Amino acid sequence: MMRKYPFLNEGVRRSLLIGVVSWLLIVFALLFAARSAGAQEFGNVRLANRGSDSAFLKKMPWSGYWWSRREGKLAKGWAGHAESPMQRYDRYVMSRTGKNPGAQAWEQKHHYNPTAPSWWGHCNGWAAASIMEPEPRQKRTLGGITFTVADQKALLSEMCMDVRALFYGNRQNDINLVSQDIRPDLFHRLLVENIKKRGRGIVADTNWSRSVWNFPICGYETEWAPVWFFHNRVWVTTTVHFVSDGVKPEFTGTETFTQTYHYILNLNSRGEVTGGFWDPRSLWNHPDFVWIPVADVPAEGGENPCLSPRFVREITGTAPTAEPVLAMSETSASSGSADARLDALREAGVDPTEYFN
Amino acid sequence: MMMESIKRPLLTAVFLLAGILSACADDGFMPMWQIGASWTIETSRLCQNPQGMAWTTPVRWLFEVKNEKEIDGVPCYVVHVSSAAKHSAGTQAILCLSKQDLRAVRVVDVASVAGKPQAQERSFDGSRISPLFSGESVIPYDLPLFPLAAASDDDARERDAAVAGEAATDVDGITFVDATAQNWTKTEQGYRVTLDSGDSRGKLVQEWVAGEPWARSMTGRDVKYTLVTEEK
Repeated sequence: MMRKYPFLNEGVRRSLLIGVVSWLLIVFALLFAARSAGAQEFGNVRLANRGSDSAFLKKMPWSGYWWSRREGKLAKGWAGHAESPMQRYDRYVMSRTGKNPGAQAWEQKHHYNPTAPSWWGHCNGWAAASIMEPEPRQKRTLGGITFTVADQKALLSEMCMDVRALFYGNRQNDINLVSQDIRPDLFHRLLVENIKKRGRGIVADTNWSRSVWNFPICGYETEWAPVWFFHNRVWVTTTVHFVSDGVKPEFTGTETFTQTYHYILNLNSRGEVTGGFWDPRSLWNHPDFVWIPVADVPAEGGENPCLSPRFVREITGTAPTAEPVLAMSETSASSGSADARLDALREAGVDPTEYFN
Repeated sequence: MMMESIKRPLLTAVFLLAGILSACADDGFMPMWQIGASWTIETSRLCQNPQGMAWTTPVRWLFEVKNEKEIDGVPCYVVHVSSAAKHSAGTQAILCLSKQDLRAVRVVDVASVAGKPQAQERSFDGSRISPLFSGESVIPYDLPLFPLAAASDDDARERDAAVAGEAATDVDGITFVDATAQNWTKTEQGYRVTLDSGDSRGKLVQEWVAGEPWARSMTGRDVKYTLVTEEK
């Protein structure tokens, strides 16, 4: 019988085996020692050990259609809904003021584009509205004009196209095969800080590439485990619950979908998170950017300027009751006198005398 | 791994030492305040919409040095920041800044939430050195570490000086640390300071001018302001 490797006699093979096993033992011993040394440095911190956490918003954002620009339903209506939301709005405002505000004409001219990229729409307006505004759940008739749930959600989505928002990450406008943005440590922090601690909805563009698909985040479930041979790394798997816009315009309630992300967080010797990077499984499937709508603002170029928040609120029967925690809006109904400012401090639980006297 | 853990504090110490040494060589620049001093900045922010980005209508914020007081054991200036507009009292900030170097000791942000003012307080224990970043506040009160001094007396205009620091946020038992940075260059009239919060919001560039109480201007990725020097 031919021997496959005649030059490897029994003695050589035994030596090789012993050598390899010895090296493996040394490497494992070094890694274990390094890990033990690192473990001793950790204080009593949450991420030092395997763990899990989850949080969901008590007040869920609502699902709504994303009002594609290519379809132009806001201006043109759709089958079974021939009079568009903007036409009904114009008719209502005319009945109140005697003047056509021109919302439908503006929408038709500026937001309807049959050749627009397929992803262009009002997903940012819907996402902001679903977090900041109460959900319209039934039709309302004002001055003989009936506004369906679809009409009301359409008007709120358009009204919230321009909002004041906190923005995290960078919008990808080109293909970048190794983009780490938004950094996973920041993403994780935003989830915990807002969904769990503040009960505040946040929005993420789930598409890592050029197109933008904004969805509100309503909850997350996360698990973490230390990377045993790197005491300063934690492996994290987080399933994020997003509110869907893949619904019909008349839909009421909250429909969700999930995405699972894998990432590694870097810890310092005190067990504090100092950075992170996306695991290869999520390198091409992670959020592009995150933003937090904090207040509606007047039209600034993105929304239909013929739409008045006053009339939209009359139609939807809503007041802006769902502003998130610490909405840093400059505008307020209160007076700006020195006394009013001090009163505002007191109302916020701050004693002015502690600082000013 | 050990090297990694000591690298940042070591660098911070080196940069701080360099800053202190250079400050000794040149007294260093720090705005001078006293109780009753006030100034106004006019700010604008960049907002996103599907077509692109647009700057918002400018708004003005009034800064008033209200008091000198010991806060958390540190002698501080107490600066009250509020809207200069008559119709607005909701959003405010109280900045308690060390008299010695204007380092933040305590900051209170107040904002109107559903028509009701709410406060959020941040305390800075001094164990981490960092410029002050306004974070989520719409008031851009970002402030460098002082004093600013030229890196060298010989060729001051051509060399930068820098400080590396870190800012920490505690959330639900987890501490997230951002590496922050500040560097500055001497200019004809004062100093150009670049602040980096390390949290993907980009860098802020401030122009400080001797004799003025606050940065003459600041430009960031999504915020900008100018110091209002005379009423328009």
